[in-house]
Amino acid sequence: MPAWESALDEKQIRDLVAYLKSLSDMFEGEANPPAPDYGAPPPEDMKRGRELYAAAKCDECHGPAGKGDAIKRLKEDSGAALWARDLTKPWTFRGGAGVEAMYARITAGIPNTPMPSHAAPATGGGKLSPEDRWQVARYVASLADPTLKPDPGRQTVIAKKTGSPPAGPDDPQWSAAPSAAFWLAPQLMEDERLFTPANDSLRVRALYTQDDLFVLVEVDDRTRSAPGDERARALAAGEYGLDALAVQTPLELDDGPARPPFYHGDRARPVSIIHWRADGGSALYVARGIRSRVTAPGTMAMGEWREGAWRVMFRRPLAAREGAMPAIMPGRFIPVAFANWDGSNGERGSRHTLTGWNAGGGAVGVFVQGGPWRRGCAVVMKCVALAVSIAVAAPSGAWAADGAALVNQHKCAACHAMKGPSAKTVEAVLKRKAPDLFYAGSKFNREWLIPWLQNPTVIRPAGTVYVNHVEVIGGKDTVKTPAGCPVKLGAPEAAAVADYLMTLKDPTMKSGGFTPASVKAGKARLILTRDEACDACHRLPEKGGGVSCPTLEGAGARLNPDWMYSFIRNPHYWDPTAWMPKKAYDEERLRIMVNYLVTLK
Amino acid sequence: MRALALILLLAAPAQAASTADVYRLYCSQCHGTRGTGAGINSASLTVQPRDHTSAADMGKLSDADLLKAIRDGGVAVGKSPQMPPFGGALADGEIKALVAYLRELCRCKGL
Repeated sequence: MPAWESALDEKQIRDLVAYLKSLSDMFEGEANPPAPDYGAPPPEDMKRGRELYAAAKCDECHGPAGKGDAIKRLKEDSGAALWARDLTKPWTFRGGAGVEAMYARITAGIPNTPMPSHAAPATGGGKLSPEDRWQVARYVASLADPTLKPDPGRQTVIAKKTGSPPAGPDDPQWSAAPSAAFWLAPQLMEDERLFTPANDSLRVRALYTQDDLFVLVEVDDRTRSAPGDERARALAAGEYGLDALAVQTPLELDDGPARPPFYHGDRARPVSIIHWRADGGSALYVARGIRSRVTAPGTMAMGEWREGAWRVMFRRPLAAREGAMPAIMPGRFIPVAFANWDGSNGERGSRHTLTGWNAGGGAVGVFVQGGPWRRGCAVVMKCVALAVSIAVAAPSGAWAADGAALVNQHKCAACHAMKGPSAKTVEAVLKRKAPDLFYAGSKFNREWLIPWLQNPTVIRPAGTVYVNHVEVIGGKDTVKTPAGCPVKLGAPEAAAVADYLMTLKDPTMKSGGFTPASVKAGKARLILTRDEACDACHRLPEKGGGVSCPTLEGAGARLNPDWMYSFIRNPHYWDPTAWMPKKAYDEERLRIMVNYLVTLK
Repeated sequence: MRALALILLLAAPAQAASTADVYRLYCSQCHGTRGTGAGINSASLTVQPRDHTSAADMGKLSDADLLKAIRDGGVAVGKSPQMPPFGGALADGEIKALVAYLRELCRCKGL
């Protein structure tokens, strides 16, 4: 039986049905079923409708304001968990949203669900007269809030400038900030997937001051799944987690239409994520692909739950944080994606809802009003109703700049060379007190620097220049244990200093000059010991070794593989007087060594 | 110790100070600050470093052997890879000065 849709139009098909029915006597005498007679609705009485809404216990499942914030755990007849409809969102109703359709629902109930008939209630729900049912249907219809529905024509959040920073999610300034709504879709790309989302959309507003950007995210959520919320735990559908929200931006902003993959970016196109949890915790992450989040302290978020909705305010500096957050420039469009976890719906980990960079046909983003026009603004969002005011002060307080100030404050340059070039003579290097840091951004891994700066350990067992830490005891040279770095930083300071150090890069070092291959640990260890005797001067894990050079324990956590590759190949490029030998390693041998060193965490 | 002090006193000031520093920076990690082979790395080495103050041992090596060992490493002269090549860090002139310095340490002439 072929499909005739392309050959026949709708009317022709229906006419054909009528003709087919005429070919047999089977259909003789058939009439359409009669439309239900609901009778004439009585005059509207909204006050009565509201009273009846409570009297008939509609609020037990649909919430006092109709937000679906139930106080009872609901199940379908099959036993599957169920949430009552949020009555402010009639576009989610399965049986139609008109007053008449709702009258039918209230009268007949909804099969397979706990929604009872209020005409002849078997269980629960008060019995309502036809007139009362009309009033309830009208009252419910009045709860609809069309502003909650994402509008494909309004996908950009306009951030307006304000003189005083909003104090929190309830600050009165927010009501004047324009709002945009976005659909949430369940995460279906990666295990574990979410198939039964509870929250369908969220709304976003934004404000900014001279220093900070504030983003308010409102999400309808039937339960306040925060620690100690026993009600949410009791209502939870199976597994229970904390409510959470996340705001994601590309780590590198350009003005073009390209975006990182919207689920956590990838290695080449990382994203910056501010994550808030209902226990009040917030964190900043950098993701370079699925499940590769990197913790970086900083920024903040605060949330309030009321009557079936979270209002969460995110705050971040306008200034960039090197490697963690892009700069927010007035006059610029910032692509944004959101993620939401409804804890009482069992959402946790990768089971959550999200928006992606495009929701409902448009590019989601925040436009920071003010400042000069940028190219991307015109391309991406038709520049938002010409709402541009000129001249906004440049952002202040960059994190790397804070780090530079801390480096000055702690007089790091008293021991470390913070500027090149490296010591060129033996006499000069014998006076070196601590390793050169002017290429720290090429040498170290930022994720290692942050904890190390909070708790510095000795990496070179005999100090920076070993011979300065030698005393002769009983005819043998003996190491006087070096003091190590005396500066210990707090977590935020360590992150700022790490950000600054990461800016100190050797521009000529090839990134990707080293490409990881499979690790040949056994072969690598033979090379490092028997063949090249690296352990004569360097300590190796589970082997020991010499003490005149940095330990290789933790080398993979500490050092950038590209730098290891470059340094082993030619140590004297980095440090002209290094006592590390330059050997003519062939490429394969070099890669085997570096590959193995990368695994030493 | 007295021998070392004597050498430092006898040698031409600029050259000797510089070569002594070169020895301290590159050689003493294994051969020791006094040249006896008791450097801070020696405890973990499988082949004990040469005692540069031993005339008996050092007398068996020619200046050319010493120069090659310093510049190209132990393997180049049939010895242990634990002696690294210093040709990348040191110029030939510095290596020649080191050979002369070794001869002063052992108070011996090579073959």
